Amino acid sequence: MIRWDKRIKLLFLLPAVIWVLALTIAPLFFSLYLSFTDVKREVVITGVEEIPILDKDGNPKTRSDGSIRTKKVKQKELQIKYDWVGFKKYKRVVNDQEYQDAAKFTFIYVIISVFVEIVLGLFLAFLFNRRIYGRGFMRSLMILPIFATPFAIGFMFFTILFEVSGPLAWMGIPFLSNHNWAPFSVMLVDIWQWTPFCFLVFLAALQGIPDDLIEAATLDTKSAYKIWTSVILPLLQPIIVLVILLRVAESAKLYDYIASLTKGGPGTATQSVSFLVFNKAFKMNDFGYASAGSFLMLIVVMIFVMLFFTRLRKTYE
Amino acid sequence: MADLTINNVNKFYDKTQVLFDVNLSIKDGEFIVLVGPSGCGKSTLLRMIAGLEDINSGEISLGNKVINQLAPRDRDVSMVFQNYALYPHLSVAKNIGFSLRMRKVEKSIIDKKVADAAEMLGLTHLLSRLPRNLSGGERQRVAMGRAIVRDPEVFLFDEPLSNLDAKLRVMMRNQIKEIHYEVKTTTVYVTHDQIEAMTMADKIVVLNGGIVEQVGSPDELYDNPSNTFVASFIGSPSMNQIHGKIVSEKGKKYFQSKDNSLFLLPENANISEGQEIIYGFRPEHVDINQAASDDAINLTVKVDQPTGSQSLVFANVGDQEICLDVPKSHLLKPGNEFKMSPQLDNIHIFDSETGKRI
Ligand SMILES: Nc1ncnc2c1ncn2[C@@H]1O[C@H](COP(=O)(O)OP(=O)(O)OP(=O)(O)O)[C@@H](O)[C@H]1O
Ligand SMILES: [Mg+2]
Repeated sequence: MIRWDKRIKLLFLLPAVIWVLALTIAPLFFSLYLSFTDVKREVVITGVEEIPILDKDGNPKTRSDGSIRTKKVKQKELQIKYDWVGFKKYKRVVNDQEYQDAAKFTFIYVIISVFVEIVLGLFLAFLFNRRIYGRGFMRSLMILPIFATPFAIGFMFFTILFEVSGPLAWMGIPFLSNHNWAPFSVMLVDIWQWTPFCFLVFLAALQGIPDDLIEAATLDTKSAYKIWTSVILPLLQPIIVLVILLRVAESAKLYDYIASLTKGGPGTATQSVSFLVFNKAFKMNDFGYASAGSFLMLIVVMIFVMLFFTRLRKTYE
Repeated sequence: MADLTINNVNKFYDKTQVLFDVNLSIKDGEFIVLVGPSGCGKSTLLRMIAGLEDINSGEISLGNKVINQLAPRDRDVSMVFQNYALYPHLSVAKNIGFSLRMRKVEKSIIDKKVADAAEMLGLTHLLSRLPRNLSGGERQRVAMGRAIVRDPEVFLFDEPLSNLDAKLRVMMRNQIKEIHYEVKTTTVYVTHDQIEAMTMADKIVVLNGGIVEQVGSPDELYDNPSNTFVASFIGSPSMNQIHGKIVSEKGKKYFQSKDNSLFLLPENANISEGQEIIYGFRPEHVDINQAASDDAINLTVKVDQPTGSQSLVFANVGDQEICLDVPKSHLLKPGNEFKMSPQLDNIHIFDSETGKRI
C-alpha cells in the first residue's frame, strides 16, 4: 500500500475545502455580519469631468470662436456602506408585525403539512405493505411528484385552483383569494409533493421489519392496532424521526410554492419567512433586516433539529 | 391439558403441494421432534399448528376442539422462532412479559412471572438489557422465556438451536429438556439435526418431501427404521446400505452384493432366494478381525478417521463405499486388509424397489 505523505493528502482535500469555504461558510458568515449592519447604497460624486459635446455625426461641436464646446459631467459611483448597528435589526425584526405573522404562518404550515405527510405516508405504506394488485405501478406513479420542481408545481396548482375558470372552480371555494383558504392551499401543495416521499421511505422501512417479529406478535394479540402501536411503530420510530427532521428542515424554507402560487397573498396571509426575507433583501434592499430575519429562523430550526438529533441518537444507541 | 391431533392435513402453496395427508397424534406432555431434510415441510407444519399458515384440508385439534379456524392468539400455543424474533426495542424483561401485557395481565403478576422465568433460565442479571446487547445463547434463552411465561398448552420450536455453536447447542439441548421436565408442556420441536432429534425426543416424526415416513421413539427409529430413508437419516454416521440379492448356499441364506461378496443372513428373515434387496447394517454393528464370524468378508481400508477411542474406517464393497465404526487399531491403516462381519442381530433388510423394511 502506498503511504501518502500527510501533507499530500491535505493537498488533495484542498479543492473540496475551498469549495465548502467559498460557497457555504463564507456566505454564511457574511450574512451573519450583514445582520448586524445597516447596508446603505450611496451614490458618491467622485469628480467632475469636462467632455466635448458631439453633434449628430459624432464630431465635436465648436463655438464660433473655434473652441470646442464642452459640458461638465459629474462622476458618480455606487458605494455600499455597512454601518455596524449591533442588535438593532434583530430588535426590529422581532417587533415587526409582518415578521411575526410570517413566522406564525411558517410555523403552522410546517406543523400541519409535516404532520399530515407523516400520517398519510404511514397509512399508505401500511396499505401497500402487502401484495396488492398493481403495487409496483402505483409505487412508480407515486415517486413522480418528488422529481418535480417546486416552483413549477406551484404554478400547476395555480391553474388547478384558479377560481375563475380552473377545474375546481365549480366548488366555489376561494382557494387563493381568501385568507383562511390560501394557507390551506399552500399546505395542500406541500402535502401533494412530499407525502409520496414519506410513503416510500416508510414502505421501505416496513418491508425491512422481519416477518417473524410480526408473527410473534400475532401469537399474542388479534388486534392489528396493538401490533402497530407496540411493535411496528416503535421499530419505525428512528425512521419517522429522521423523516420529520428532513421534512421540517425542508418545509421551513418555504419559498417556491408561495412565489408561484400566492405571492404571499391575499394580503400577507401566506407570507412565509423566506418569502418575506427575500422581498426585504432584493426588493427593498434591507439586507440587515433580511439577514437578521433569516438567522432567527435558522436558530429556531437548528434548536429543533438538535433536539431531534439527540433523540435519534438515543434510539439508535 | 390436552392432546394435539393432526388429521389428514394437506398444504398447498399455490399449486405445489408441500404436505401430504399428515397424521399425528401427540399426547399431552409429550416432546415430539419433527425431523427431516431441508424443505420437507417441517416449518410449514409447525406454522400450521401455530395458525400462521392456513390449512388447505384436514383438521388440527387441541383436546377435542378443532382449531383450524382459530386466530393464532386464541390457540394457546407459543412459539420460539429460528431467529428468535425478539423485539429489538424492548428490554429482556419487556420481551419476556410481552405476551402477558398483550393479554392485559395485572402488572404485579407479570413481574412475578417474568422474574420466575428469568430465574429458571439464568437471565435475572440481564433483565434490563436490550436484545442487541446479548449473545446468541442469551437471546435464545430470552426467546424461550417469552414462550414459557405464558404457560401455553403447546410449545412450538422451529430450529431454535441452529444459530448456536456446537458446544452451546449441547448445553441448550439439556436446558430445554430440563425445562420440559419441569413444566411438562406438550412440545413440538423442529430440527433437521438427527442428533438433536435422538437426544431430545420422546417421539420422533421423520418427514420427507411432505410425507411422514415414520413416527416412533428414538430407539424404535434406530432399531427398526421402516424404510431406507429413515434408516439413512437416523443415526450418525448413516447406516450402510448395499444393493444385491438373496442366494442360498449349504442350506444357509446369504446376501450377495453386486461384486459377489456374501453376507450371512439371520435364519428367520422373511425372504426368498433370488429376491432383490437392500442389505443394511449400522457402522457400529460390525465385528472385525478376530471377533468376526466365519462368514466374514475381506476388505481393504481406504481411509481411517480416528474419533478418540473409536475410529471410522471406510472401505469399498464392490463400488459401494461403506463406513465402519470400530475400536481404534494400528492394523486399520489405509491399504491394510481386514475381516469384517455385520452383527446378525442388527441387520436391516429393505425391499430394493419400495425401500420398505422387510
Ligand atoms: N410462502 C411460501 N410460498 C411458496 N412455497 C413455500 C412457501 N414457504 C415454504 N414453501 C415451500 O414449501 C416447502 C416446505 O418449506 P418449509 O419451510 O416447511 O421447509 P422446512 O422443512 O422447514 O425446511 P428448513 O429445514 O430448510 O427450514 C419448501 O419446498 C418451500 O420451498
Ligand atoms: Mg424451516
